[in-house]
Amino acid sequence: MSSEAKIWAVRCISIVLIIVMIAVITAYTLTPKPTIPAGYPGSTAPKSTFTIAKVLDESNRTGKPVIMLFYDKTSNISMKQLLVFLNVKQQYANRSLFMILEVNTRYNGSEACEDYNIVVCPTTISVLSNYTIYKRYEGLLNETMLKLFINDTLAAQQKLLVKSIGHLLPPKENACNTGESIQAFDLVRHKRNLNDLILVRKDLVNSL
Amino acid sequence: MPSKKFTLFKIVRTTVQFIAFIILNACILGVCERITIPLPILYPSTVPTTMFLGGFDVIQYRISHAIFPFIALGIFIVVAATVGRAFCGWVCPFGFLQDLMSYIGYKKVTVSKGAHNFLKQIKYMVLFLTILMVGIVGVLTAQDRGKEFIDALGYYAYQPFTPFSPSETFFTVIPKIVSYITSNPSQLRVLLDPMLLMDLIEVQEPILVFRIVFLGILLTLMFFIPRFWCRYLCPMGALMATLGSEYSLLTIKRNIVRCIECEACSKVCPMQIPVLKVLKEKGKLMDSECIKCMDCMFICPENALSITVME
Repeated sequence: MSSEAKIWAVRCISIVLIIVMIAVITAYTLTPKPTIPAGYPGSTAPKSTFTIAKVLDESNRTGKPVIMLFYDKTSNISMKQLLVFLNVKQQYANRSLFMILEVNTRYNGSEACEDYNIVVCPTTISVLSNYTIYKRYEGLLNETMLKLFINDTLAAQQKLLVKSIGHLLPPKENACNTGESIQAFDLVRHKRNLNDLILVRKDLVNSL
Repeated sequence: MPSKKFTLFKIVRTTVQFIAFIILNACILGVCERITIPLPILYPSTVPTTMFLGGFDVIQYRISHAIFPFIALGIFIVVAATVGRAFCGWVCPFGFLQDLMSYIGYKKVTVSKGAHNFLKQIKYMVLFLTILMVGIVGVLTAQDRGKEFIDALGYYAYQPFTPFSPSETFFTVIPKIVSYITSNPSQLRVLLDPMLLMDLIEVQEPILVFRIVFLGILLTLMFFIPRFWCRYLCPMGALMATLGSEYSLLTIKRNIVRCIECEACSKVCPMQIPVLKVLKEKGKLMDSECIKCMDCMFICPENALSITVME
């Protein structure tokens, strides 16, 4: 091969390589990503209601994951799950945010139910601070299993925080998302939990 | 005409650079778990396929958030002390792009010594200004002051260099534009409306036209001046040079008996280092600009140059 031909070969290969470099990134951008059904791991947690949105934003701000329990008062298993949930919640209160969503009521659950594809009660869902659903469990989790569920979520959250450099922009401050409103919301939620607990205990007593 | 040995070496280096590019973008192979190790390369973290973090992005982000970049600096110091700026020569995708551009180019231009010495200081200025900027933002963030100032700076507060980085333009913005145009072929007219295009491809900074023009100028310069960006403008290279890449364990030494002082090594150096002069003065190729590409070693007709470690 003549030296001129060699030079042209090198030029052609270089042009091809440059095109390949752009093409691989473009092709990846164009490839349709598999869609995950709403409410399942990997999907973005829907901000179905004002309160859910607030807790998710609080999670984004503080870097704590959210553990959500969808339960139904009319289901015995749900009520058992609620007891376990409230018990475990005390132990993880500093490290995680908790939400208890009752389905079939107008408080939180009914709207969220559709958005999160809730078909079984109880359903436990964990959401990371980047609004991504990390885990979902349909059915009863005993205390050990629920703790494992939360520990897994916390570990994933920790990884996410370490990786947070990948999300180059800082979390946006939401004007509605003040500490006061969160505290007020927590108080309301806390009262509600207490009421739920009383109801659960009454139900249990009745069932006995 | 370069020797067979040199041609073979060039093929090997290009292959290594291409493999490095694929590894950096392992998402295209289906591995999408991002590895949070900052590498001393100019590769933006915004590339959708990237697996690693671009070192300079990490430095900017950390400092502007009032966090000292211990891990990133630690890695860079270790790399600088062991292999110097070898990542620039063998791994950096933007360096790879520059090499490819110079292979396409017709005629290599040698910058005059005075101009070269002046121009190579620009990258240190870029580094200094960026660190100063993120430093100010970091101090304000730490003291919880100057919120209006930071808000006014917007995206530039945390990443003052990134919007000007041609690496980001080439590896993030251009693929975004191409993918948009490919998926919407009837919308070619958006190319004439930068503001609309900016919204469509979700580029956050309103200097799209400037970025593309800047990249165009650089790519043109790379045809004639090899590694133009690395030589004169790259802040990552400047950082590595500042961290002591000159004193790296891996370096090149000269066999005085074999050397015929033909200056082939100096002529081939993409960073325009007076290789022979440095070797004569210091005994080893101790220069903060050296990217350890090894071109000088393989071009030598007498095999007078060799790699040395810890000597």
